[in-house]
Amino acid sequence: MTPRRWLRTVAILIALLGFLDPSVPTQRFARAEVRVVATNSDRDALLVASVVRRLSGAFRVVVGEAGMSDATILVGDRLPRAVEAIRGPLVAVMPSRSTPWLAIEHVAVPSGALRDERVDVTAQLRVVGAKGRAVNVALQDGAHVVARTSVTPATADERLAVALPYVATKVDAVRLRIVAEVGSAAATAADLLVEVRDTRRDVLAFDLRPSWQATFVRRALEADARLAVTSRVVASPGITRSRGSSPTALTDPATIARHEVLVIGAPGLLSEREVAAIEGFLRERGGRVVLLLEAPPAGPLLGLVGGSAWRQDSSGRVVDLAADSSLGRLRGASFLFPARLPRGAEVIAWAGEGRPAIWRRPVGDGEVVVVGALDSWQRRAPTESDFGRFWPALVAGLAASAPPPIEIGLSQTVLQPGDSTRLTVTLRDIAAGRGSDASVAARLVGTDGGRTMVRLWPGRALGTLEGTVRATTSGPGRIEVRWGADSASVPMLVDAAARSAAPGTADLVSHLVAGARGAQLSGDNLARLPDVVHKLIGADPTPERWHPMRSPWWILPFALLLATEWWLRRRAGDA
Amino acid sequence: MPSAEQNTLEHFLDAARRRANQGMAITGASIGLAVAAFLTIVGWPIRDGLGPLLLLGALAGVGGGLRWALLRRASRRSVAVQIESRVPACRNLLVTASELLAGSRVDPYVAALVYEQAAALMESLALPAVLPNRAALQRLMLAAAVWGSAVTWRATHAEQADVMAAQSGPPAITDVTVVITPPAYLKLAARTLNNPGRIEAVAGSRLSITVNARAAAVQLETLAERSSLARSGKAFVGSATVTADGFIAFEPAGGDGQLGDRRLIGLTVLADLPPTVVVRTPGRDLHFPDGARTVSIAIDANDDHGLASLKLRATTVSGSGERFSFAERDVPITITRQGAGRWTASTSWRLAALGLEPGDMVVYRAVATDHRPGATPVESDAWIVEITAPGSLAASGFAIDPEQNRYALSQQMVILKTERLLAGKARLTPEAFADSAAQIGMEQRRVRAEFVFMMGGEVDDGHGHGEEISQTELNEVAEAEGEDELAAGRLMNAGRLALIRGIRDMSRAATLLGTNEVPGALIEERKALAQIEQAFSHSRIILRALTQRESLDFSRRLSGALADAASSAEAAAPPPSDAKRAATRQLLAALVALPPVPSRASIGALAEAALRIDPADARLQAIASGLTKAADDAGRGETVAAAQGLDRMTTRLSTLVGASAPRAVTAPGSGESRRLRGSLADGPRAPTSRQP
Repeated sequence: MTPRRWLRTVAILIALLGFLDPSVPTQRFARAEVRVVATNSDRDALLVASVVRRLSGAFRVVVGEAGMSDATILVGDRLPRAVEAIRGPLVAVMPSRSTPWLAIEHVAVPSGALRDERVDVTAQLRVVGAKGRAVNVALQDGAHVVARTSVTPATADERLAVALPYVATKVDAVRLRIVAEVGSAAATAADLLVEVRDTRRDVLAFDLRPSWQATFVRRALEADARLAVTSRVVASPGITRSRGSSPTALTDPATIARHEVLVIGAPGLLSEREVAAIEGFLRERGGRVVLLLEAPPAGPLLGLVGGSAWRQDSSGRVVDLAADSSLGRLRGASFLFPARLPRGAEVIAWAGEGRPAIWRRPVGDGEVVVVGALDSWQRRAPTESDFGRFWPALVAGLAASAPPPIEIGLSQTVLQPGDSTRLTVTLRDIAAGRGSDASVAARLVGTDGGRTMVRLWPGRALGTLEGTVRATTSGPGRIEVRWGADSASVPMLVDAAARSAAPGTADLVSHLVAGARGAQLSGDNLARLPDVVHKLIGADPTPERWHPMRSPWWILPFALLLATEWWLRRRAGDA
Repeated sequence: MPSAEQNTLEHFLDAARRRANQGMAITGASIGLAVAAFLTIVGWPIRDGLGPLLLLGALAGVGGGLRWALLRRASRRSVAVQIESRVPACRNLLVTASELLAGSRVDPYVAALVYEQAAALMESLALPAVLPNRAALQRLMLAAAVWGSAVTWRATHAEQADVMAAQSGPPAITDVTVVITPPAYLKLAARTLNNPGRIEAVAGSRLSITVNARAAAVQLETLAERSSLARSGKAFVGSATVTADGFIAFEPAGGDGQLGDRRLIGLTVLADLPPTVVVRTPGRDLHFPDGARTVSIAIDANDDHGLASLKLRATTVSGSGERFSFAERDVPITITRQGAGRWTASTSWRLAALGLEPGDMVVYRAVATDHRPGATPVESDAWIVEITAPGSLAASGFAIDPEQNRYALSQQMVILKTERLLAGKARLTPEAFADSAAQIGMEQRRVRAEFVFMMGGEVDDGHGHGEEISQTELNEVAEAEGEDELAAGRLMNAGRLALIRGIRDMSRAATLLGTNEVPGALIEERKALAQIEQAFSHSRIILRALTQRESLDFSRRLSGALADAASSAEAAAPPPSDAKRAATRQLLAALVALPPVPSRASIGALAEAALRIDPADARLQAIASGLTKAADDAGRGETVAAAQGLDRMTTRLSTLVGASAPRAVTAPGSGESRRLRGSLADGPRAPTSRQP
């Protein structure tokens, strides 16, 4: 048979089959809908595209939030926002971690700071696949880097805590950004807000008689710009030396309640009435009290201080007081301490084994600090101890922990538009058991002055209210809470470009998948993905009639065959 | 063999050839100068500078001349043709002769005839006439004139252009040269720095500054003053004397008053330190029973730039009671110069020549000077050689109280006695040893009391009446009461801390001697001696001669009439302020507020601000240098380098500010957890008193 005849025959065969339109029975799956949910779309964009490409041949693929579908493909190592909306079979595709990968899981920073303070921003990093490689972490304030450090993971998968100091340069809510990178291979960032306030902690130093210890502690406190120290020294009955508008006595809880910390010298002279007022200050105000002991407590003071079997060690042997490194070191040779600390007490500084020289114990919402280091003032020279740093650090810390009338907490202060954050409001007096008729109102105040009411609901504890703030418009804003004559506010920021720290919830994702009886795949092994999804959906392939000759593409070989046959004929001179 | 006519002819044609070549060279030089004139007018490749322009013309002229002379070199035939064309009467005779000379073959008699007639013809030819160079010389003169005019025009035009640019373009500093000339007495060579970021110079150095700038004027600014640099040609010159840390800033200004970017140079002054001098041997006081002794003395002296003199000076103190006589003298020494800044000296000093009597003493010290003009000589610690009086204990200086039993024991003597006691322990019974130790302990307390009195403190520390002094403690309460005086600077507090430590060491030594722990006591005694020597190392003699106590301000003591006692109230104290810290924080704020790509001027201003805070602070100097470099990078358009440099300096400054700032406290736990802790601590215990 000549080639021309072959060509003709095949073309006629195609035409004939097309005319006859034969049907072929086959087993095919129904085209199901799968929903691809990316939990970190910025970082995992390539992986999401790869998943969509793999699935689009066999399924109708929808990319978006979790919702109703035949199956859900979770791409990423975090839980999606609307995890409760996931329905049906679940497949998790985890990003491949063969290359360096890192995430900022958590950022710890004081909610507020005073102008003269240094803020230590601590970021917890998760670093995978960068063993032995330097991870550079920088803290940015606006366009400039203000702190930088470098850490090197010792293992292939490690969590590292990195501390970066920040010095506030303005009184405002400051947006900072932590940027972590492993060379040019991987990088991540997280934003945070630090509110810097131009206020001073209110401290009352009250000496019931002149004492060197109280004098030098007071001088150390007065030398710290963060503390506004009001003082009164009772030199002798009827003769006092005061600085600032200090109360004449400690008997009125309302008068002393405007202070955050009371530093009391010679507390052994406190009367029963004064002790009662101080206890009211502790329990109802949530205030902090520092008692600079001179002798073992007795009478009503012992009831406030607690502890038993008090002893005095005046051996003359000078010892270092072991305390938190942030406080510094004291030295002394004469100590007063109980053999048995009261319930709930925590030791701040030890003078040796079983000898708590400075310790604290909670009293209601407040806290009392008992100082039994009697002669540390004698070794206050900077070359000998950190006396000048210890007391301001201790008292500033106590003042910072004294609750304000309204305490506001936001679960997240930097949001993207559309995000929500949980608002918790604690009313000090209500929490302390004192009733009030005043109403509470919370508002989100934007930069343009626009106010959005935030609905508050009673929280789990007495005096606690909770609400949800939804970020709608971009820009800085404040949550303001008013309760009677008191008010408080905290800053927040809404920005589409904001990045937030989020813990790697890969374990939770694994548990979620296991609970849903789903499957988990690695991002570098997607070949099995369609089969896995088919299997999870569980629909068997159904017999289906197939008409192969109905494809319009048959016209192409048909025309090609006839054209070639015609060309050969022309060449042979037959046409 | 050539004939005489042939030789004559050859000489004539060669001479003609040389003349023709000269003409060609002159023509080439003319063309070269014409080209140079054209290039000068065009301004390529040199636009300005008289020297380069002249060089260009010279090269062009010489080059053109050489090119024409070499490439158009005339031959005998060509020069013959040239002459024939000018003198038709030659009738081709010279050309024919030149061809024959070139080797054309003809019958010899024909050649002889041609040579003969050509030689005859030459007699009538004068080369200047037949080959004139006047026209070529005229062209050369013309070309030189044109070229000279072009050079003159270009030089004038360039200067005018500079002036125009200086008056119309944006003012900018292009180059700074600083010549540092150290003070003459140092005899150091001058150094030249080009565009330095920082200058380090010895105090008193003179800076000769040359600034090249596109500006009408340049201002020089330092921490102390602001002045204008003088214009010298295209540059601006000035000078300054280095006296203190700071900076030098140059600010260009245009003719219309427009200011350009400042150029900042940090200035670190290296002080010429005074010499140090130590009497290394014997390095202690000596006590001899008689004056027939020889003392070997060794002295070390050092200086950072060079010593000028080294002497051993002695003061002889003779007499007793109130009749002391003093005699000053220099003791001859042998000086060995191990370098300009390191000298050693030694001598064997024969005391017999001084004629010392028992009870006399000699106080000696080394005195060194360097080359600083008018500087005070530096003295070493002073040491004593004492000829002890028979039967008396070694006195510790002539300020000792006459009651020798009470005061005449120095700390050194206590140590000596303790050492002797330990050495003789084997010979003593335990009881006798303990008694001796207690005796020394009592003497130790007396010495301690002497120092406590000297400091204005109280002997009785309040631990009980009748007790002489505290065994273990300095009276801290008395010391605390004196703190106000210390704070006010009213007390002579130099070395006070060392004295306090020394007194405490003495207390511990006395206690240990009382408990028979003699070896431990010896350690404490030596520590006390070291502290006291540290406190008074430079004024030992003055200490011993001190006759009055430090004056105390009794108005600040808690004393007065009881009836006058009353309450007092003061306003709340303002927050303590630290100007340097505040300024550093402001600088950090300004740095953070800069845009991502700031201008050179804005970074430079911050560098200057850093130096203004504390010019002597090395950390701020380094930050200022880094900022200056970042400013330069920004000025060159290297924005990435500028931003990186800026970030580095911001980080460094932030660290500097943060190092002295207290740490913000993270409030521990929520209110709920606080209350829970309180409730757990309360337990079943009811509050002692609770407002209903």
